[in-house]
Amino acid sequence: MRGVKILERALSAIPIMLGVCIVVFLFMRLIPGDPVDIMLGEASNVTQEEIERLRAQFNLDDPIHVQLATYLGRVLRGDLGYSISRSASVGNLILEALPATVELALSSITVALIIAVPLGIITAVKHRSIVDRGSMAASFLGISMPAFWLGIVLILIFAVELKWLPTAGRAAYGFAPRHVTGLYVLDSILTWDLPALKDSVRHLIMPSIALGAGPAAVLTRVIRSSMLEVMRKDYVTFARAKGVAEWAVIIKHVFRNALIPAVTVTGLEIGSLLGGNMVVETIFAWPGMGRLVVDGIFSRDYPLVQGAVMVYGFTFVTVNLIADILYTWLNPRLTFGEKV
Amino acid sequence: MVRAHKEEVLSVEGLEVVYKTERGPVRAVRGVDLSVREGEILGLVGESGCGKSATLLSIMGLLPPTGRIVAGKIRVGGVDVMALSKKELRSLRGNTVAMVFQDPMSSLNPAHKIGAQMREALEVHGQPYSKDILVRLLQEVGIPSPETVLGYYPHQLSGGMQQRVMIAIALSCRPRLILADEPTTALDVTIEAQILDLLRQINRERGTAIVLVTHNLAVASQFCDRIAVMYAGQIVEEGNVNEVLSNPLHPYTQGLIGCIPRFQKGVPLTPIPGQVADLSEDFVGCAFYPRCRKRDASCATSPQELVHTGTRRVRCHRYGYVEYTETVAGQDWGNE
Repeated sequence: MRGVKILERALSAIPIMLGVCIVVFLFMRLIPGDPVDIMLGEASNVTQEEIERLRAQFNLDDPIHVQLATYLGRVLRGDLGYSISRSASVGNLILEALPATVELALSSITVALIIAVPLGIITAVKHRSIVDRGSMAASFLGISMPAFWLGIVLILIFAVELKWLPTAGRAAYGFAPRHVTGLYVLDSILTWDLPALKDSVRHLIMPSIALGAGPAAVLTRVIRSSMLEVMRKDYVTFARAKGVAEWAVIIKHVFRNALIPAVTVTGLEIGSLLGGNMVVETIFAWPGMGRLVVDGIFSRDYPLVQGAVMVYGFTFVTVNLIADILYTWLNPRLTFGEKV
Repeated sequence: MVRAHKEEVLSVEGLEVVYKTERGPVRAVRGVDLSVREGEILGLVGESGCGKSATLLSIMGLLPPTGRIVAGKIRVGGVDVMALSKKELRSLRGNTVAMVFQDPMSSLNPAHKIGAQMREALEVHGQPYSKDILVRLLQEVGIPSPETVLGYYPHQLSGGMQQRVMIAIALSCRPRLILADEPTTALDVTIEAQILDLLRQINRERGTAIVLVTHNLAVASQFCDRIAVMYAGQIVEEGNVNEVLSNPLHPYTQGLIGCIPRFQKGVPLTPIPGQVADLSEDFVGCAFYPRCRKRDASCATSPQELVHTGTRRVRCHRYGYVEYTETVAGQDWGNE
């Protein structure tokens, strides 16, 4: 029953992905200038003939519907094409960049959860206290503060002034761990490479805080308000009436039920962290998907941008699917389709 | 059936509860005295918002943060509840005194299995909680195939079954007193009878005292030994259930009885005129005065004391002066 539903959801992702593919393909071509214009740039000694030849080489002279059909056919066969600006297969470029972005997203959401879970619980339990009001003010600040601005401030303080943390990249030269999964922290633990572990964690701290602050603020509010809602429920009073200790009431009865909306929001936040951190990746020179896409857009590298956005769409759908599975696990009423 | 020789399980004296609200303080309970002995069933009757639930929650020490006991004494099994530390109070809850809530659908945690919720109640009081014990507890409240039910989530049970589970949890530590807050209001009438039978059976077999909060006089009349009628945070009448219902002394009790529908054509219901008293106000005289059909000029100004008369108590200064000759059903009290 449950397996079938999950499969159904997974299959429903296919038309979504197809739509994403077509939309990105068309939108990319709305940007003025094509890859050949950008490649040749200001060069004055190029003849029209050479330009046409380059266009033909990348099949850019075909009518747009033919280009689209060719592209879709390749994608269905698992071939994302060849990057025009980087002269490499788009698939390989993404495989190199994706782990960097995944690692940054996971570590940002960890930062967010480490802040939001205790803070959400405390502010709900101490509702309307000074702690509550202070945290809500701080979270308002967190929501309003753009990640790139926070990133720059962090760099100014901890890298430029205090010189505690490195400003850019995932690892200092020669410190990258042996490639296993592509997640440096995980790889350095798997290969037990302590210098690499220390180095990659140091590189992760600032971008993770910059990206995690917003989600932390949002999640604190979500957890707080859903805790407050659950605390009014009869079953919480009933748990107290059973003689259950207050902390156990809060954790076992309130928090467990308050988690349900928090899981949904966490899923959405991970999804947007995987997709929306181009500016922060650029600030911290993080060799991830964001930078790949930004570079791709500037060089009108159609296959690269299309491939990368497809991957964004795919991860977003997957993360939300996982959140939905977790959701049914947390809320047993949803496990059984026939009774709600 | 007042069993004077039995030990007093619950005593409440002069209880006053105030809720903080945005419109100012609300005096929800205004000097309630109650006494329940072993094996006794006391009905606490009144309209919504008359302080019934606040009284029960005070006994459990479970008033919400906005509510506060400002005066009075509560003893459960001889122990002064208000003098207890939080930890001592917790060891009392669910152990000496247990509570059954109004809506079973919202009173069991939807995220935990029945077995886990039952186990928790035993575990916190250091009682053994083997599967056999849980199965036996479910059998005692008449749940078929208890082994299966232990693995169910609450939503997989009907309302009546959920209420049985809640009663099983309440009974698990063999409490001396059960506080039942409208335990059947959310259930069908046929299920209501079953649940009340179950509670009565527990009361008879184990001598567990029960305080039943209800707004339903018919339920109270079938189920209780004694009833206390509450209005505006005060007890206005108390006594043996049959005496009170067949010969109500307080005009409010008479009004409540007049509101019970009867299976007789052509007998109109006699609603109580006006609205329930506003508990954020203070009353000098009788709280029921604006709605009373038997009031006189002094009712609004003279304070009303609870007068003892034999085994009964009534809070009406006209009691003894006015002839209460009317009998109960469907009488028109307007042509006095």
